[in-house]
Amino acid sequence: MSKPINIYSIPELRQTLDEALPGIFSRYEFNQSFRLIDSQLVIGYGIALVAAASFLLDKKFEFEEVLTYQKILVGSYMVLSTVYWYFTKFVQKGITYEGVNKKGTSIAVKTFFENNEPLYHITFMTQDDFDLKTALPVNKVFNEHGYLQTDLLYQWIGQQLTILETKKAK
Amino acid sequence: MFSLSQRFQTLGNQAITYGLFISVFIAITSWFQLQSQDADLVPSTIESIKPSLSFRTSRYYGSVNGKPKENAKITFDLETDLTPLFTWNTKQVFAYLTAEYDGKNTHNEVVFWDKIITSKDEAHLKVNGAKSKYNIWDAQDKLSGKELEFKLKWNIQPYVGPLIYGETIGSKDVLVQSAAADDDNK
Amino acid sequence: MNLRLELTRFLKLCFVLSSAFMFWKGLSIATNSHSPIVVVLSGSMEPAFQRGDVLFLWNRNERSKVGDVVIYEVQDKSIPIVHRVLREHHNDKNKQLLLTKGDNNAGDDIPLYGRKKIYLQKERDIVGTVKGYVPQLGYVTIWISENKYAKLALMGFLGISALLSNE
Repeated sequence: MSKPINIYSIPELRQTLDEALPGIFSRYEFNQSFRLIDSQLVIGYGIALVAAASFLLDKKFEFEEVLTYQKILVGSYMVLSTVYWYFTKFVQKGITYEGVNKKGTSIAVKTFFENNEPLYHITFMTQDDFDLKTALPVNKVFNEHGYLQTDLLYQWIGQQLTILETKKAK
Repeated sequence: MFSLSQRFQTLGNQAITYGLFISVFIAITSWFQLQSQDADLVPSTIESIKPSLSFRTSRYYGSVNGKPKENAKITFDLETDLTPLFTWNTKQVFAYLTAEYDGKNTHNEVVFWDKIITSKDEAHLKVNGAKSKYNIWDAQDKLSGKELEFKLKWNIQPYVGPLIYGETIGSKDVLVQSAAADDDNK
Repeated sequence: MNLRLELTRFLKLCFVLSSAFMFWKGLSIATNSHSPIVVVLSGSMEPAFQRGDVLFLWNRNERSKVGDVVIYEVQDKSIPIVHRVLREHHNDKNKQLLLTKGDNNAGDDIPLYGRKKIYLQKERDIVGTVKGYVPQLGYVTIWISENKYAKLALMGFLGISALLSNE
């Protein structure tokens, strides 16, 4: 994480933090599961392919000649987009990380920002339906130059995992 | 708080949203204004239509392969007041005098005369013995012997929103008489 | 793992481009016109339409009416023309024949049709009928396509903002 970011920009914060998670969980010996992200990529690139096909037909042929194909393409674009929307909204549900550790504990992590506040909301979910909802003020892990302090984030995640463990033990 | 491109994006989105809202508001209110001014009930009188025929051999007068084509012009009287068509969203009114007739192949409609009106002050039309602007010919046949139904129609061009079409109440049927018997054929 | 990250980022870019294009394509299928939104390029319909005005088209009507403002393309000439229908007839095969004229032009359009034609055919030549109107918004596209400094400035702005926002 060598690139500084504008810490007043929520999209940049979100992206940087989300992208740092896999590295940190792997240091806690979690193996990332790519089930969700791979499905998302397959549907997403399906949409892109349909659009690219439509674009090429449009460049190469007259409107009337390929109208039927274009109707099919636009139709499948709409269907695929609906599927993609459904997938991100009801299947993925904002989960940015999924992983399993050696003990067989699986974990899923949901993250989001709210109302343009610099608070990184994060929910840890285990397969036993133990949810831990918490929030991280971003100024704790970013320094004033906009660099992400990966070690601080690592420690903070560690604390949360401990809390999760003790909660589970009860 | 935000980066440059985000500011522009937000600004652009807001401009589009407000612009759309204002446009729709203007279009809807002007439509109601038209209804309240009874735009669809404007009367017109079209009188003393006198057709005159001539034969032309140019492609630009409907002639095919140099065969003489029968062309018609008219003189006419017209009076109407198109003031009700002017709302706060009327940029111009295009008024056109059309003739409809049944020809060899179903429906035909031709414009003999038209006028662009850009303000309320010019909306009261009163012309006597005016000449048609265009030379009219039939696509397949000739006009003589046909019964033409004249009407004054209008199109409102808005400042923003949909184009609106309609016609005035009042029409006039005129039978186009053949010219002198000797040049009737061919 | 990093590949997935790059793919996700690239997918976002694809979505921006493809959604814009597919919206356009969807609109053109809905209106049955290959260019459902056009920008006026000439002054032949003044004062109704000026250069830069944006027109919304519809092409599902089987017949045009006299008085309609239509966009047509003559074969071999790819410049679309916005003019008003002044006459309609039908030929022996019951195809509709149209004669058009620009409000601001002195004469009708026969000289524009070329190839000794004196009528347009609705089915073959008409791209769409003007249904809606927004003034001047399209001037940006004219300005960009006709002025190379404007093009450079736009490219520069896009480039810089892309670098700055780093997304």
